[in-house]
Amino acid sequence: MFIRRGLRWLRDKLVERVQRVIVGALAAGPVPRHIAFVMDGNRRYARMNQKKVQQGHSDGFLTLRRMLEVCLRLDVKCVSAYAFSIENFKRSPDEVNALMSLAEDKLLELCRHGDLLDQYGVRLNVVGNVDLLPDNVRNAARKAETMTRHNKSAIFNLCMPYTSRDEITTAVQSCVRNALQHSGSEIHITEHDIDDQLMTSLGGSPPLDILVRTSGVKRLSDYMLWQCCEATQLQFSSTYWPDFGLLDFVPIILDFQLKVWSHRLQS
Amino acid sequence: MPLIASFFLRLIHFIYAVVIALHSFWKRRTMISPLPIGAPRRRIPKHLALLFVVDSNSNAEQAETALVESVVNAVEWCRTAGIENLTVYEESGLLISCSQRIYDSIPIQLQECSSDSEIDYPLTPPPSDYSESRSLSPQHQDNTFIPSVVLRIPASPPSKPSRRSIIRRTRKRKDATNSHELQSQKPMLLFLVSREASKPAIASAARYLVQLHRNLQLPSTGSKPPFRLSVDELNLLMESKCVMLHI
Repeated sequence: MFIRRGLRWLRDKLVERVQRVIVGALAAGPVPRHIAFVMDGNRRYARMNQKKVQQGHSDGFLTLRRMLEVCLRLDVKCVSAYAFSIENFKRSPDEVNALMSLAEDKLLELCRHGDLLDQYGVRLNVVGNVDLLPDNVRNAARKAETMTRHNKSAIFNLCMPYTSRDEITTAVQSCVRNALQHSGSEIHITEHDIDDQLMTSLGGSPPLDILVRTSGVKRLSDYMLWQCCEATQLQFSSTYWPDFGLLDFVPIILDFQLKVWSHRLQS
Repeated sequence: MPLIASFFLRLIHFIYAVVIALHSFWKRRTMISPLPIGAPRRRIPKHLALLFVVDSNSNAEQAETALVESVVNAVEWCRTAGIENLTVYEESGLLISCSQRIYDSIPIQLQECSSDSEIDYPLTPPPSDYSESRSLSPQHQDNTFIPSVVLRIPASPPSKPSRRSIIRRTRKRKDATNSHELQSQKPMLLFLVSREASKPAIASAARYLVQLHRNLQLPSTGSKPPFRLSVDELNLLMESKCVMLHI
């Protein structure tokens, strides 16, 4: 038993070493500034592994931590994750409550002193229509944002509850309000003004370079439609989110690097 | 260290290129050919959108010719497959500038008779002024904020103009093949759009909202509630230039 435990420890250490070498090698080439994940497939993963749906979401959170750490080691400046859609409130009350409870716990866990965000100097932005969240989750979100406000090395956008159309509408609303306050002057609302009022932009996020959707579904599902419709690499992975790992992520970064090098050669 | 990391990165890229090449080769060897375009399918999209990217090395005439040919092909395939709405996007607006040429290039094919149909003769004869002219020319949509050119591609007309038009009806309406044929006989809508239909259209809607609210000249007594906009309201505005006002 001790030998087996020892061998397992050795295997984990070796895997971790190899992963660090791979990430170190990838960081020698062009690295995306902003990566967004649509974390799809938690429920199908749970069903496939005879687990409860709530366990699927918990495992999904572990994957989020893992991938966030990989991105931060790669020196990606901004990571966004689609944690909860406004449409997801239509799911069963049990599942919604479980997700809200998970969000409340994990938000504060992530921002604790010494934990991941603190370790890498990451500022957390909770992006979305937070007024729709239950009071306890909204308070946890605000507290988590406050705890990381001083961090400047990178940004983590946790999109919940979010839809792109809601974000665009809010941005248009802000632009119109600002213009109405300056009566008499010419109306100068451009697409750049709307871009500046998006929640991601207000949080300091750079332009989106890669959008990854897992679970094999090839849809955008109302996520970052404004941000991803021009120069973003859209990547659809067939792996369910809780199973998503470095082996799935490496080809995505390699494709990005090839694209950047090819663009440099052409110009 | 950076040199070693760079070397490792090149090695990883080399291995990746080999894996991709082998994977592509294997996929080509084991690929199952798709069914013919006109084969009956369980599900057909109601609306298909295609994004065309023009080769930056080609000149304007070559680009236009390639675009027209590609759009005409896409229209024919959609008509055969039974797709009723086709949107074609080209960023710079080249499609819109050659919309007339696209329209003139789309063939209107004659409908073929099927042998196992029964023929119903209508009680009243058709209008005798049937002409073989095409339907209306490309139209610019001006009732939405989404600028586009719409081409209504008619269903195939009768083969000969006559005082009596013959309506053919198949025996088995529920048969997939027959319903597929009926679908392909419906008129089709072709939308040609450019980048102007994207973010600039939303900015245009925002400017319209400002103008509208300024023109309303709401009473200044008391505090005015701040302007509010919902997702559904913006959607309605974009698609139909209709606004729900909260006064």
